[in-house]
Amino acid sequence: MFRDATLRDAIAAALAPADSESGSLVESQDVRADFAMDEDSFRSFYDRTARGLWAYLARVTGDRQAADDLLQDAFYRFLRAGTEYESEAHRRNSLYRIATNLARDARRRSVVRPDAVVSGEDIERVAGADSAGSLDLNADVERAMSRLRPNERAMLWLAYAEGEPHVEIADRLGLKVGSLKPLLFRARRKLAGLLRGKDSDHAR
Amino acid sequence: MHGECCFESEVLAAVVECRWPERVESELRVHASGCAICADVALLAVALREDREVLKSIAAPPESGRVWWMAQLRARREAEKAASRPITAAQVFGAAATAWFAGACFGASSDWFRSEFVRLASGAESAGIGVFLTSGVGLLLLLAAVSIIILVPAAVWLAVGKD
Ligand SMILES: [Zn+2]
Repeated sequence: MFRDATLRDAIAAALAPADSESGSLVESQDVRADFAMDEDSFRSFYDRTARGLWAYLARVTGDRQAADDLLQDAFYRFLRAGTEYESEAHRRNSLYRIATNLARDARRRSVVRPDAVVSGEDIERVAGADSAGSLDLNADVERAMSRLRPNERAMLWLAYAEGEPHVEIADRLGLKVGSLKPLLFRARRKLAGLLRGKDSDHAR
Repeated sequence: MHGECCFESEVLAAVVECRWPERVESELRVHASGCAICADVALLAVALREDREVLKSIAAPPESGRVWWMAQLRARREAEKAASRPITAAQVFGAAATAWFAGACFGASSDWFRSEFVRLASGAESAGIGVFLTSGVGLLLLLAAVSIIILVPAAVWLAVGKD
């Protein structure tokens, strides 16, 4: 849960459908913000990206509640940026860059409280035949990732969970491709050591 | 050893395309079993991609129409808030200018005010200051300077401080 009320209040303000003012605004169809995307394009883009972005935020922050809140804030800021994108890749990079910065800010303001992202109650929702096996692996990954720095989690996630090329990862994380490679190499060694159960000198 | 093997992208591609390890050439499998870099890449890619699938299946993002609707609402509220700010600043500046103008007119036209001002100024060493102040223009300029020094910062503080 949030200790700092700022982000939460901002999100709560936008999330308040029961309030009569917001109700009347919507009913009167008097709400037309100047976004660069129309509703259909946005909804289609959201449906393609929301779950993947949530997974990214959950692993980078290690906080399920923060991932929920940051997800909506990221899409809002993405819309507000009002930028026209040349391609789907540019659009995704921009969204992830916004989300990464939001996660970084939330961490600085200590609104992120790492905790188990996946709980036993989730077992029914996990797709696939071997959901128990998946959850075991998931718990191992969660434990190992929690030992890494947030920027290491972000770059490893983008490289191996999402299979993004180095150019796209550097763009999303605001790094130069040349500086990404050695960082990624070190982070990979560290996580591989942790996953193999070796609390090696690579791990903190 | 510093991080790169010419086969790592092939290993990663095989995992991403769900071909690893059964549906890849045996040479690549053999290489990966003896190459620390490719072994790490395969381990991480398999674990993190499976983890991602688990997280995606438990994610419960709000419905896209609701997110769009809330974004519209939030943008509208922010626009209203932003629009109210210049109005406040303009109002405060207007009030400050009116107060300055009224004060200047009073100072320039009131005999009592001018005589009191001259009496105070007569204590000044330079006789030139008193003469300057007794003229309507001089007094007007002095009041304008005092108004700017006091009222403008106050107006700015009020306008900015309101948010
Ligand atoms: Zn290799």
